[in-house]
Amino acid sequence: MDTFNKQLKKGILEILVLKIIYNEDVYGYELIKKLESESNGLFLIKEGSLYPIMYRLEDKGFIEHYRKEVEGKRTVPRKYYKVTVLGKEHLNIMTRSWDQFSDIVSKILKEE
Amino acid sequence: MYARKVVSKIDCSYSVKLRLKEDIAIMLEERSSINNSKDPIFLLGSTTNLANELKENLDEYKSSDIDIKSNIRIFGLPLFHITNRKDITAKGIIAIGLKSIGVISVGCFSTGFISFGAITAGVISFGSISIALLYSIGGIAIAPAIAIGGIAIAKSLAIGGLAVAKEVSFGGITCSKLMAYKDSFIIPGNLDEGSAVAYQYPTFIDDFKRDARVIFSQNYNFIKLSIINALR
Repeated sequence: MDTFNKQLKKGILEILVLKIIYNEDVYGYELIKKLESESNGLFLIKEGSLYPIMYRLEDKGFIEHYRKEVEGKRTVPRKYYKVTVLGKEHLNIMTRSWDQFSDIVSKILKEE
Repeated sequence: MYARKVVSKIDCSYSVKLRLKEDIAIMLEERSSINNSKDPIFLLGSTTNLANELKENLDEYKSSDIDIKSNIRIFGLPLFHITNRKDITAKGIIAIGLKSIGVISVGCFSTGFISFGAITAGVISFGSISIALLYSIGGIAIAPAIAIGGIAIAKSLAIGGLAVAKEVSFGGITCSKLMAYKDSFIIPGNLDEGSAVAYQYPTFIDDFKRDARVIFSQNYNFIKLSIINALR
């Protein structure tokens, strides 16, 4: 069961990350917290899982980052992520695919 | 230090390692501002744990590919470009790759001012098959000035197992106007027997040197020293 849940989460994480960044520009840690709160604690991920997703999305041109200085004792500026035009298109495609996928899976699972 | 340790445990390309190092610094900064601690292990866990987690999610970045390019540019070229990727030609002042183009170029197929490799072309070139505009050393070496190799073909001076030149050749089997041969010699087709001079090595080497000095002092002063050194 653990493996099933893990694979399921892994598969869907990319679309969720993209959607959160689409709603608002976010930095890494903020994204982790948003995922946690918006999924009611279902998606508890660490940086080690998040950053590889960010690399994939960035390399495919779906998101890009910019740096922003933050007041305080920080020595490194924050890295904010935002969705690109290509990313928005990709999100639409993925959302449609997900809707179709979840409808069919739900339908099959509810059949008696 | 922490970031370097994490990254050293991950098998991925150099560019991804750089990216990770930068992001680990950001992760630590973020966690540190919340948890009020500077201990990286407290903030992000042990280097092994973080490395394992990253490794698990970096499948497509797993690679032994190397592609390093210097940020310092000279005449528009990176100071160095080192790559082992087949699809990329290394281009730089110092270029090292399977295919390379540079002032100093090292590669299976390399072109440059000074080039080293399997098949090379340059002003000065060293390689298994080596073609140069000036000096060439290799298994098969071809150059107008000096060629040294198993098979050496040159205009001025060829030194090798089989040495063929217009002016001077030195080696096992030789063919040129002036020759020092060990095994045998061939008189070039465009010369009469009287126009070609062949000395057997090592018996008549002093005579050969004397004649060679005459040729090179008259026509090719710039390589005079080279032939004398080569004969020494």
